[in-house]
Amino acid sequence: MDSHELALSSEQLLALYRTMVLIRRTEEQLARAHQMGLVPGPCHTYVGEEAIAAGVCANLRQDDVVFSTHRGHGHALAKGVSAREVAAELLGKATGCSQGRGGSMHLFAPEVGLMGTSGIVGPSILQGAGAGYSFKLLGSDRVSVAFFGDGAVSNGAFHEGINLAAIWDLPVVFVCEDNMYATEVPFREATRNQNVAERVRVSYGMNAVCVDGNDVLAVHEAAKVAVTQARAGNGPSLIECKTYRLRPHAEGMRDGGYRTVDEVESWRKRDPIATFRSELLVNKQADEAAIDAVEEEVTIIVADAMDFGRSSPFPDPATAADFIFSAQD
Amino acid sequence: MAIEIVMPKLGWTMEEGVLDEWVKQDGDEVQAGDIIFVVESDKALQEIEAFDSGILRILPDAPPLGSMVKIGELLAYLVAPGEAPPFELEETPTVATSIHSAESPAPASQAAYPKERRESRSGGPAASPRAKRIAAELNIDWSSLTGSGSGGRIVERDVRAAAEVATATPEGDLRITPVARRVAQHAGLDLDELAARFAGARVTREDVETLAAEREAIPDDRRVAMTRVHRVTRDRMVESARTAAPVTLTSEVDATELVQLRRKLKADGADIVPTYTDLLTTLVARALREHPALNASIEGDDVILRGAINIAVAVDSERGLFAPVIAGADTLSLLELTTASAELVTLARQGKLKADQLHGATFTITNLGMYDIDAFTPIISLPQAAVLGIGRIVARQVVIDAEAERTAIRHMLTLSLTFDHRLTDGAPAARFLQRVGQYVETPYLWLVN
Amino acid sequence: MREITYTEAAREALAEQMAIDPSIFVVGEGIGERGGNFNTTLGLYEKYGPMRLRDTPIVERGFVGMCTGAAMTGTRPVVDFMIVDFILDSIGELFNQISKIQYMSSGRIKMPLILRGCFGIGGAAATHHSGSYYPLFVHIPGFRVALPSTPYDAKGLMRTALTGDDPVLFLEHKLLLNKRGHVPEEAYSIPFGQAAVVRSGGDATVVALTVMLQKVLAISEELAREGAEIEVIDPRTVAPLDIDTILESVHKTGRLLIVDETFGPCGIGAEISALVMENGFDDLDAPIARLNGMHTPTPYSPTLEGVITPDHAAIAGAIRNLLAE
Repeated sequence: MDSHELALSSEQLLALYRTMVLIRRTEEQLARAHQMGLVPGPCHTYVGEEAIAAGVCANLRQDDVVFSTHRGHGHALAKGVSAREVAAELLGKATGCSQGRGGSMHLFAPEVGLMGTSGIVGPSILQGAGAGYSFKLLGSDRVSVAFFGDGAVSNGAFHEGINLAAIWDLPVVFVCEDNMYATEVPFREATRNQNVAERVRVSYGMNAVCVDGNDVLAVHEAAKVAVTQARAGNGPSLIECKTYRLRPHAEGMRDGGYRTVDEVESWRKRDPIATFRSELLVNKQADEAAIDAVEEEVTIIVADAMDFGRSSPFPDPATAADFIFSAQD
Repeated sequence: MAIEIVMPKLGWTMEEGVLDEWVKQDGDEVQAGDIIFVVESDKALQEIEAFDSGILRILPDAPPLGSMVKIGELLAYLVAPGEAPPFELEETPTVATSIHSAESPAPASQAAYPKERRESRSGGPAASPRAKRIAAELNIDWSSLTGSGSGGRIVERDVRAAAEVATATPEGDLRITPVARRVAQHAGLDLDELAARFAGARVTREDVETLAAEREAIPDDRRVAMTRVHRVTRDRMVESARTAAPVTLTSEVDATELVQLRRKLKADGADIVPTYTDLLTTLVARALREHPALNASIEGDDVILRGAINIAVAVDSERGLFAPVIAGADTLSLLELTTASAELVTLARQGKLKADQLHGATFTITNLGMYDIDAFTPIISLPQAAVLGIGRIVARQVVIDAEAERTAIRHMLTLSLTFDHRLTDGAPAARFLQRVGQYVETPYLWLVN
Repeated sequence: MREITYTEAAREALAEQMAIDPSIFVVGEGIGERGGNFNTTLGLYEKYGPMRLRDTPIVERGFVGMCTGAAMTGTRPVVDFMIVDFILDSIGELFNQISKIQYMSSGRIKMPLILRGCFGIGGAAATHHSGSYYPLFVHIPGFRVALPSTPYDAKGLMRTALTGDDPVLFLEHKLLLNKRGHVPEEAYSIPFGQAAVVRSGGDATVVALTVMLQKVLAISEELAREGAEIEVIDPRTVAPLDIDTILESVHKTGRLLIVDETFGPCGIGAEISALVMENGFDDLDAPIARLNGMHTPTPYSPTLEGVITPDHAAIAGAIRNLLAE
């Protein structure tokens, strides 16, 4: 990845590192809170995949939009939702980004372009295409990003959404996070051809690349090309990111039976944060003190976020049916 | 030979009427020309006179007072003294003129919900919830009634019929001085309640006034049953609001000449001086002759341009809102129309309008000027095409000549025309209103023709 | 006043709003240059071009999901699905996304999306082109469901759909498309949740939906000649449902029949019936009656298709039975 290291300043590199650490520390605290029973519902962490959200979202403006998945805490944080709002939402509090209506799978913060994480696999691809349609119709240079996993690739929404974006040249970046398992079903058993980028290029005539999803700079570079292309009105593209989730599908779920301890350990050695940290040090793009300062700052932010979440009030039960319609009946 | 007394047909559109009052009672002697009973049709009360003489025998199962009766339905007989009425001779089946008793086949195509009749859970007679509610309101023991609904279910009409019988002796045991009764009625006090409160004792004026004062201190919500007239008005207004496509145009016109005209007629010492409504009605009738699209009605996909110009004039009365009709208004001179209208207004205020005097209007005029209203949005009385609202006439300074910067004190009047956009478009309606305005501003235009 | 067809009336509202609001676009199969299978967009492509009149591949889930994202980000999509049966392929997008986005986002994202097209039994279209399904959408919180039964209502309700911020299912019965009626030339809106008392009467209340309305009105005129006055109510929208107008009418008449071409179980009639029993039990002078189409997929042959919808005799019989209860 030497060729593009030079393109980024030390500040930009440290910012990427900071985003990844922010996601990691938040997820660790949420996992702990879940274990303590403070998260009333499911909690799907992004641990191990942080390089993708960080690398893609660093190329986006606040008015660009992101459509995310059930594993979306990382996308939310990388797009600019505060750790406080994410934590409070997971704890079911009124101060959460969805005011306690969503939880882990329905984080919404349209103010910063997070158009929702989702409990259903597939719709993010279609909605991402739709936002692209809006921007094109309105003559805007905003860009839409749809995140989805390998589990969505065999779903009709993938084929329909990719095709519509391709035939209408919509300003969309599709980001496939291939973490090898759709919940517990291996991708290799779900398809004869696991090469998503190739399939999209050949079948739908869309630009598509495959990158190491644990290499934040590789992701950043591919996303920069894709976002620039979309913003310039040159149509959609797809980035296939090979990655791995280091925690179970959801907190508290049994993680055995579908993958081996050895496999998990081998990916733990390729932890995107540790790898990037040593790269920064080896290439002298940041020193220990600077990196430690980032870690320290993030630790304080996350501790504050959890305190904020815990001390926030639960939503008023009288509001359970608010917001069904644009104007209350 | 018993002579049948039936619900009469009054007016050409009448299909049923409300039996309002028996003036003669069962067993009374009746002379030809006597008033036997009173019928309310549409909005008018009409006294029904006997064409023959005899003894009145009301059917034991005659429709209760206040009920809607189809025309032709048998109510009573006139019999010779000593003669037994037919209903005492044998069981005569009542004529099934009503749809309620019509047998109808089960719909052929509806198999989704087979209906099985169930016995009522108590084993006693079944009563509809509505019948039970009304029975409670009217203090009727429904369990003793015989139901006329499906499977013998007691329905509303059964309870109401029973209530008519039960209230034959109004106010039960109430003993009250005539003065006290009048004061109580004036104060809106319930006589039944007085009877309960002063059980046994004679109620005096003082009692009533004390009670009325208590009431006045903290007035309760009062539920006032709509009068029949009010209900008819309600239904018609709702139907109009739901059916018509009303558009209201307003126009301010200079009525100074009209005011002068009326003043001069008055000063001339005429017996009868036209009201502003009369003046407007007369000139509107002329304008309608020139604009037949506004003197029209809608029937299905056709617009009927009405030959006659019959103008209804809204009259407010204690009994409610009436709109007696001045037939052939365009053929009447101003004074003829004034005379006719005065008579109708008097009858309306006395509640003595005949049904024919309320039918056949092709256009309506309503005047709220006396209440200082300028413009409003009157509601069309279907099937008419339009209604004209008259506002107050008010003197104020207006610009006469803008270039010369000349103003003058003029009598200004606002006209509000609501027309049904289903029948006619905005421009023709506006032209009509413009013409009415010209007639207001220059009365000689219509006085001469 | 001029008369135009039901389809022309709805199209006029669409054309008027497209001229005012550049964020409106239509997607569907054949709605571009061709002007729509049912002429729903005739003449608009020439004015507004392919971005605003977007012909699509046959991917109902795809374009409904895509329009969801568009509605979330500042445009106002109109999904012209031609035949309502077709959008069943997108039911997840409809029930899991469109209806819930405003709620999930605490009202910060609006969902101004119109789903319009024809429905209903007729013309031997058989069972993949004859569905209704609107009770499903009433069951799900988050939809407005408009069922115009006259050209006048079609135009006014379409404008309301196109100027609101909620998802609207706008259904046009295929037997109504060419019916003509008086329609003002100027733009106007009919608010959702406002039933029309199409005919006043004191003897019984009949709630008639869509294509059933004209049949019920004709029968009511027949019955009026026999002396029974039927009050006929067209809810016009079933979500929201103007139950107050129905309750008011039942308060007057004591008797209620709901006539709906589509299925009875868990349907509009069931809902109205339950609401009236909950809120107007003591007004009832007879059991509430329902008349629905047969609970069956729609057959093809005219002799079969003919018996599964309430016809003149069935409706007249049901009203007579109600009066005789």
